[in-house]
Amino acid sequence: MIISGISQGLLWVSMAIGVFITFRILDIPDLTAEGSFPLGAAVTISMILKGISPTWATLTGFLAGCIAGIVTGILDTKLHIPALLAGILTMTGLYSVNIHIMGRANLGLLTQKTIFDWVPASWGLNSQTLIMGTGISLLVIMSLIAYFATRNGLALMAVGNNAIMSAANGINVPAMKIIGYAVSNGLIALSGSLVAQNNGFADIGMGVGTIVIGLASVLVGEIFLHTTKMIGKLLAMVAGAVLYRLLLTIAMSLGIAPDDLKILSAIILVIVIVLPMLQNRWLQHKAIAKYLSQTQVEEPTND
Amino acid sequence: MTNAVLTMTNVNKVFLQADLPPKHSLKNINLAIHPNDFIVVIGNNGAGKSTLLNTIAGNLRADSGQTKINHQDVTKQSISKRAQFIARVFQDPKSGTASELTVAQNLTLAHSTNYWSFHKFQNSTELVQFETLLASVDMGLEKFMNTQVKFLSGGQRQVVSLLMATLSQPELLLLDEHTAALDPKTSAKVMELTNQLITQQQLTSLMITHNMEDALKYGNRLIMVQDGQITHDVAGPAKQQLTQAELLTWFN
Repeated sequence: MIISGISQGLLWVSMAIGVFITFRILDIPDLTAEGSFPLGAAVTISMILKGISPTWATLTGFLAGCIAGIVTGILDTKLHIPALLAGILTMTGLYSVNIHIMGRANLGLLTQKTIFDWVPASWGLNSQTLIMGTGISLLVIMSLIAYFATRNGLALMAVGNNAIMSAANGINVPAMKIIGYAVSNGLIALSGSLVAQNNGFADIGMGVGTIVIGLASVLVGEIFLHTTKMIGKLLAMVAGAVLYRLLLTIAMSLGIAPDDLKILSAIILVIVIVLPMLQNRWLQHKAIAKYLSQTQVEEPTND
Repeated sequence: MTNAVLTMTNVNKVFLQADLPPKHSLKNINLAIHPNDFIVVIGNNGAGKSTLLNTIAGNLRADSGQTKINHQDVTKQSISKRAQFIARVFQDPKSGTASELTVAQNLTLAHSTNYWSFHKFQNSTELVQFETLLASVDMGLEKFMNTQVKFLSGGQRQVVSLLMATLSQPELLLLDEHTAALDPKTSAKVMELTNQLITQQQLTSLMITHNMEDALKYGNRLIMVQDGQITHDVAGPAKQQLTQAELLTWFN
């Protein structure tokens, strides 16, 4: 059960990293995720059913997510629609798009091979998931570490941190934001594609709660790994996605119905937002009390 | 003038205000900035100094008229396009630097506007250059190369901003009351450093200030903006002979 939770969690790593890029690097809560996650699933499953190789189908799922991100990016930066609303608009539109891609609300694989069949089926589903999940997460993390070490990657970090300064230094802020949206939603769609292939079906409702799961993974990861280095931040996302999945697995084994998982997700998110704040305040309070008890302030002298 | 770094011709900027008459912030502004000019801009609050500077930088678009930099029409260009000519130090020390990034990363961003590069940004020759540059201002900043800018004081951040702005030898340096948020001692130090950098690199610059002593002490040209117009424009020896008392009479 634990192994299953961990391997499932690895499929959600690229989703956590995708949410991390918009939420932490660009400082935008991007709701496109709710639509791009099932988009990746819908594109990949319907392509596999048409006989296209799972690798291409997965890659196309990723690219479809990038396009969804570009749409939100244009709504935000070119049409100046507030970021939150821009995401909601794309997400709403994607519902219809996803239905059209699948032709109905739920599309299942029969005996078709998936990307997990790169690993022999005789090794068992858990090993397939674990090995492919690890491999793809590694690929994503290494690509992003390489990207954030380039000038363009640095520009992306600057844009999210200080748009005024970035523009004053010649960076095209809208273009960089659109790139961020595209990469982020591409990764979220990739995660949707992997989860769908692992489950054997794509469902129109599978995106509900994606942003909550994503944010919870990001915040859980950050509680456990606190660092300023990009590699540490990305590894924290792996930890976050896996731990979060483990939490859900444990909850289910304790008898919580699948229907109740959404409200559980929401409650977990509230806890992981509030907990670090309370922890910080408490630690600060203690440190200041300790400092004051040991320090004597000398009266100012005027000579 | 044919060799002007910047020319503004009949530039107007109007702000519409609800329930109030439109605010005409720049009225038919004509201004030529020549190479090596160090122009000090003074004027009341709301006179249009900042509007003038923002219209030059591209934060605001002129409603009519033309702005040229090096004979290129930039009237409709974005801030990031104009950044190839213009560098700017803001009044708020927080505005000019990316606080989550390190000092070295901030300097890297300012060093080259070629951000469409997928080469590694940390190269050792550049880092050595930055270290020498930071050491040259004698404030111990070289120790903070790999420190996130948010941990620096306002004065230190403003010095980093200033070094960033002068790093790539801009055609025009804009200083927007860049010492106003600092304590008197730091303010004097940053102002002295500004003057030194401008003189050494022979930069063309435009500086807004509310400090009359600085306005008299620095620069080779002084302009006063009142009610959206340039009311005084004094350069060279005439600027040097100005006194504080004389300046104060202009404000009435």
